[in-house]
Amino acid sequence: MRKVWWIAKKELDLYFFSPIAYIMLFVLSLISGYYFYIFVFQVKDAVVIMPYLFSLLASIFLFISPFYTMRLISEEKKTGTIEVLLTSPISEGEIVVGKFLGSFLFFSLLLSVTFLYLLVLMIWGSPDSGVILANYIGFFLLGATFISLGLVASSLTKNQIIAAILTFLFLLLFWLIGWIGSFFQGGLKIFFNYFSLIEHFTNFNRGIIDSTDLIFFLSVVIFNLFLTSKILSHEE
Amino acid sequence: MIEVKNVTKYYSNLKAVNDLSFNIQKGEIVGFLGPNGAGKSTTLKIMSGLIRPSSGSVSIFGVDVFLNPIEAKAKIGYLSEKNPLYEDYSVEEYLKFICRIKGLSAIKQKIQSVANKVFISNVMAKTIKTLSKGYKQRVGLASALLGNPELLLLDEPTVGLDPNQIVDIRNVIKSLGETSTILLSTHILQEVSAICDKVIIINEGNLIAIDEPENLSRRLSGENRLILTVKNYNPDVANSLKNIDAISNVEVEGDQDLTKLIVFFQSESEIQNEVLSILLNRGVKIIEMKPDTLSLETIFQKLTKGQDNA
Repeated sequence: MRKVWWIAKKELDLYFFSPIAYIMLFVLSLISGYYFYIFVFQVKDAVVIMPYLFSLLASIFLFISPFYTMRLISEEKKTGTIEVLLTSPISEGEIVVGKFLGSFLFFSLLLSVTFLYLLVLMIWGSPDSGVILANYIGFFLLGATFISLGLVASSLTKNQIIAAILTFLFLLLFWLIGWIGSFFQGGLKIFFNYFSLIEHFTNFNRGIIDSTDLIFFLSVVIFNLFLTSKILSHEE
Repeated sequence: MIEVKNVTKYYSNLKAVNDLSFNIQKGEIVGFLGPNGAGKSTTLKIMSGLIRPSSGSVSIFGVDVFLNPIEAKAKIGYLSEKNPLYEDYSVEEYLKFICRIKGLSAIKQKIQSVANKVFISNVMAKTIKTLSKGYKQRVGLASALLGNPELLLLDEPTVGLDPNQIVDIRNVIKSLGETSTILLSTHILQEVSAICDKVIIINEGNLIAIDEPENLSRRLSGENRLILTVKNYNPDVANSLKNIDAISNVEVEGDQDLTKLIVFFQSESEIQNEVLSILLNRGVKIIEMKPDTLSLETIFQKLTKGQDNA
């Protein structure tokens, strides 16, 4: 387990070797800050401001998460450093989980910008703590799912740009699959809806913590991590 | 003992390694020799557990690389041909990271000890991407050495280095041989005769020879050539030349009017005068005579091609 942590730490280190991490933090603070300001002055209801913000952040992360997951494996394949990991006494599973964890920590760091808004709301208003907790749990699960899909995409190519585009397509597919479902009736509709990330996140966004949604997100993440480690172990 | 048993590797339809088997005894420094594309890197990658063979098995001191990969990898230090490094890290940070994923303890002492061995103590704080190729190679070697692995797999450790660096790295490898078993791939023959106890030659994925380097260099590099262009040649001349002890063979090309003689002889002997007097005595007119030392690579190429046809 310690080795997983060292891989995670390495991933986190790598984010801050390039300016992208700082640019992302800056851009995210700017956009989310701007909307928080708008919501505060237009909605004026402390209970719904955070859910509004999270639903907006979900769309923003859909666009930015490929940028922090694209590199995870494809870059190591391109430079060959994946050999350093694969010839060390560490399993493919540990490598993948470590990379996931490192990226998840970076995502959490990005999301920590919202703590500031929460603090502002708690000082000047009375937000619903249950709804906010559900939103954070839902958003962490959504972020983890985005990262796990990004990991799969990143393990499929040596090219970061292709990995990013592929991730974005995966995310878009699972984001809009519910909309595809709306063209169908009965079983197919239920099937498409089940795989819709929006559908599952919306419950958390409304303040509902349902075990179905928890299990959905967790199983997607675990499946993707498993898939990535299988792809990695069949690397030639 | 390290056992490679019937290892075959296909890349889609291309057979990179063909039913390769060999053993290495504990403590040996073994040179792994072959032209580019012979399957050396593929074999080393398979032995390191990086890729799986299509069939066959590899056992490292009793541990099967594919059944117990983690345990086997802990016994192996692998330096890849490309020598990939996390170049944004400083040398020290990088070696720390390697220690950690190898699960080592007492990291500081271990890093200091390998840094001294490969002479990188003076660049520990530098970012890897700012280092010269020679230093990067040593950092790669240092990372392979961490944890004192029982087996070192070194894929072309001196490629791309300048002559001084090559000598340095060779000396390091030689000194490592006192404590570890080493399999070292190269296509530079001098390297083998300089440091190895045993040589494995492969070509196009096939095992061609396992031998000691003395025997090998006798086979490979014992010859020089003398090229003569002559007039009035007669076949007697070749026979008389072949009677000289140091001459192993004489090849004749061209016609009687203008003949090219290629005389193969032991590299350390002086045969020019003897050859000249024989030719002059037989009334052969010499137009040109020049020595031609075959490069070791060329001789090697000849051998591998010859073996291939046989």
